[in-house]
Amino acid sequence: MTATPPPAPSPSARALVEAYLTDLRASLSGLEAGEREEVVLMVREHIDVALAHRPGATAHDVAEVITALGPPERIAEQGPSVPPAQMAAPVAAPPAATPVTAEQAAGAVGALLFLVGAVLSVPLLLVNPFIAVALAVICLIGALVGIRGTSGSQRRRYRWAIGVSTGFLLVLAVLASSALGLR
Amino acid sequence: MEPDRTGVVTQLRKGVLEYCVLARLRHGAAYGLELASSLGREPTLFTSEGTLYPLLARLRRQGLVETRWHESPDGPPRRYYELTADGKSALDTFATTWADFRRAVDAVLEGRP
Repeated sequence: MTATPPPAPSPSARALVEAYLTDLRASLSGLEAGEREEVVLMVREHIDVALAHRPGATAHDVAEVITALGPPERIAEQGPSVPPAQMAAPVAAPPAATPVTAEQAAGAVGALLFLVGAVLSVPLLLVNPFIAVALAVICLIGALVGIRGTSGSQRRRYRWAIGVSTGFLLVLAVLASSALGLR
Repeated sequence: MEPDRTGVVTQLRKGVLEYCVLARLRHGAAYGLELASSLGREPTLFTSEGTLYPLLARLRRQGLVETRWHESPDGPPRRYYELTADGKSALDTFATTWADFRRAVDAVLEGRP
């Protein structure tokens, strides 16, 4: 014997659900779009689970479920209130994406500049060794100072800038000392 | 105009309902309909079942509640809501604060010095 799926809600029942959710979405216009859709989805799930207990649900069944849910305007009244995070001090901030501050943006640009400077100092050696060494030293010091307290891709850029400028200066020092030694 | 009972209750609900949702989840995860039906039995707090969902969405965004999907033997898969460690901590803080708050209000209402 094979289990047959329960009869789906009637078309008029589905239409009633959609009309209710449309009204709810309109009533929640004060919420940010992502949060509004999340609430609508939760309410849709509530209705789906409630109707699953009523095979072949009619518009009358839907009316009972949405009456218990309450008018959309009443649901929307729960929008603005004091969020618990403001009252409970030990609660950490939500793991949402934090906006990039001007300081962080400047740090990201700085990391990139020191990396580019460190790389450029290598071919610059052929043009002007003094400027090349000065640039490598500036980039090394700048990156060593800037890397503190950073993370992620910014930290990797600083590490590369430190690596390239240190490597360049070391190779140069070895070459210079061997050239002097040969004399 | 002096506020009627509805007005007073509306004012008192603010800032409290989120913690009632957290408290209902203290002893285990629950799915939306289950949670809404249970909290809907307290009409002083929840005027209708649907008022739960904006609160749940906010609590989830604040990291105080998390969700998990479970298959159901009858009907569609269900999204279960459960407390996070931060949620438990927020609830503990509220419970302590609420006890002090209630004592203070009772003392004033009863005219105790």
